[in-house]
Amino acid sequence: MSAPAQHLNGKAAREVPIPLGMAGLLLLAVGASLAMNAFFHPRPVAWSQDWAVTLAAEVQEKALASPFSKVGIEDVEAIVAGQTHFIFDARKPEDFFAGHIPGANNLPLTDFNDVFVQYHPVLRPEDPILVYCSGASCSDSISLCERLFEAGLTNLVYFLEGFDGWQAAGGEVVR
Amino acid sequence: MSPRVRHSVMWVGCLLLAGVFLAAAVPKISDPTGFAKMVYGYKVLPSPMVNTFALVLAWLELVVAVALFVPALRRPSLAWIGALMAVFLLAQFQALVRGIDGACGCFSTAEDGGGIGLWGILRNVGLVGVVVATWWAARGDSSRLHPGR
Repeated sequence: MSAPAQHLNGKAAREVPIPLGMAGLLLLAVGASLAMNAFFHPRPVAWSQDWAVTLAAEVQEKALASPFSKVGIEDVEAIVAGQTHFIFDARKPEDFFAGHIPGANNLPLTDFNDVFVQYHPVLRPEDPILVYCSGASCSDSISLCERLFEAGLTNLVYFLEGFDGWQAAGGEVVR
Repeated sequence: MSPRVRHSVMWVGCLLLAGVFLAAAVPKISDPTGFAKMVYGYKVLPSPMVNTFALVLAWLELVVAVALFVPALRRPSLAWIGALMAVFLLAQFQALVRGIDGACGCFSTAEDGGGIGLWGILRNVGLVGVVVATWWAARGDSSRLHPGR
């Protein structure tokens, strides 16, 4: 793999064999990342962490700071059985159509402006609305509550455990 | 093609790739936690491996960008860039197919710094073309430091 002698400003230079060069560059990157993260970075990162737990904690923090009410599985079961709330599923359409809570309507956070126009005319500001997304590590339900509140709807609750929590509790799934 | 043109192709390719990889590496090195979160968002690696991978990847991008200007390490560096582009393409493609709607983490660690999408894949395909052209030009190049000599 080694190239013949090459000229570097008149001096002979030999190309490092590619596998050896790649190994050397990788070692350099590993060494630099180790040293910088351990000794010099102002905000070093743990070498290993459980991101599912970290993200769930971030969502919990966002939920605590949120002005909207959180409901549990029993409340959602009562809402579904009594059809007391308008229910919004904040997930993407493909996830929604793969399975959702009975009576839910799909309002993906990513397409809020395009999709909400069809619901806006039938909703009054005081109508009770339940919002959920995929699960405990998803904050889209809280973000969707914020968007709905900005749109003038005030009676908003969210189900933080989301569709995963509904399924885990043995709730009926509509496809 | 004349050696002069070939030499110019190599330098333009090296400058372009080094610029792209430096621009990609700096925000990731500055905010390793933010970048690790984005790597996790691709849902490819097991959670305990994500941080180590993200840290090393960011520094590898920086190291290979600089190594492009070391004649003896130019082709090993290009080989790494080609391999990294393949990894990025695969990661973005699988995310697109699986409907993962996350941040790209390509040139920014901000949540709104650009999402995973077709544009990112097309850009990476273009960069693979630059890698191939630079590799081809570097093969027969004399690796002199200054073009046109």
